[in-house]
Amino acid sequence: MQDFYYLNQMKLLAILSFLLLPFMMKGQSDLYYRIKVDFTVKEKTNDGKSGLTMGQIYFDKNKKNIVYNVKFPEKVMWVYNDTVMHVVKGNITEKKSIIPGFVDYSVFNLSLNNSLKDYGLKKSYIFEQKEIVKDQDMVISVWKPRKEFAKVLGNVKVSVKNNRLYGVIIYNPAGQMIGKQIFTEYMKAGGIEFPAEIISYTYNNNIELSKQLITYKNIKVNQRDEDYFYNYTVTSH
Amino acid sequence: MKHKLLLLTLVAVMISSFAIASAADDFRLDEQKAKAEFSDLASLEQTVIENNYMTLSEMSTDANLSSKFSGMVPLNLPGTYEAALGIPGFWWGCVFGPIGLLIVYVVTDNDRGEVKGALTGCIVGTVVSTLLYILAFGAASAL
Repeated sequence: MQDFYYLNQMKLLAILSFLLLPFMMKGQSDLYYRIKVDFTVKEKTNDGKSGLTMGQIYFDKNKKNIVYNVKFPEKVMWVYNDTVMHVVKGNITEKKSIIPGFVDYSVFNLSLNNSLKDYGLKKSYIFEQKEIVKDQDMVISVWKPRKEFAKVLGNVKVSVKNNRLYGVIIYNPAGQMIGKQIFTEYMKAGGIEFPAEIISYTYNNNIELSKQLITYKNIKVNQRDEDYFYNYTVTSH
Repeated sequence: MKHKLLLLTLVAVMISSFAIASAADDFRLDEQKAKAEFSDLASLEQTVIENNYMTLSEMSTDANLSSKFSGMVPLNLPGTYEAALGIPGFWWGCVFGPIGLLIVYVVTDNDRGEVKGALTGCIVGTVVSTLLYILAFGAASAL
């Protein structure tokens, strides 16, 4: 009798767990809402120029602000929100338009929303998955733009290695590679995996135009202090 | 007939696999070699840290440091249209993702009117859908 009662309890627990799992997973992605990292971007262009930019980045998922506290080559704040960004240097603020999706499709937002593995393409209205194949240590998916965007956008290939985003390759409508990013290292903070190193290339007519090495360090998740940066509000001067 | 069909299917699978396998090669990268290309900038990065993040202009006034940073140029802001129109607009592509990259490419290399029309449609569609969802959710919550 006791065994029967116990078995029924276990069955009930299993059923409840199964029903609650989607909500638990959603809750997991809602647990993490802030990221701070130290960043360095090293860049070289094919005409011999080079650049180095260093500082810290703050991102709050609820505010949808990406705030760069740039320390080198100059002390300046870059604040990205929706479709505008502001450059704040001392008392001077300059406003600029930015490309749509800059914040939503940033690695910061994608990581906090557990969407980095497909680079946010699964939830994107613009792309649909065309095919997926396993090749040695990689799983490669090919995403094509929907019909209404096919004239202006090309395919995107995403590779996953060891259950993490490894590479993204972007093509123009003519099928030429125009951008490539390889995520060579990751770091962990709490339940978040975040890229620690990314090598990025840009091309035009099959010629490499520039390359960047982006490194992130000292990641902090869900910080309670430094609200000044997370909640940074641009005031016009 | 069945054998022919099976053979055709196998051939099709092999061809498609080959096509994807060659595409996978595009992801292969000699990581050590790629990182080594930035070793000079890694050295400068260390110098910046050791000098407590002096700005580039401050370093240019320092006799010991100015020569090290003489080749440095300020680069365009990530995500802006100036970045797209100037030095290739995918700098920090990791930050704004493939959709942003494609949009930048489109902005710089295609008919602006058509691109803006497509983007406007997408954005308006998203906004309308979001508003409808909020209204529906709000109505359901009130019940």
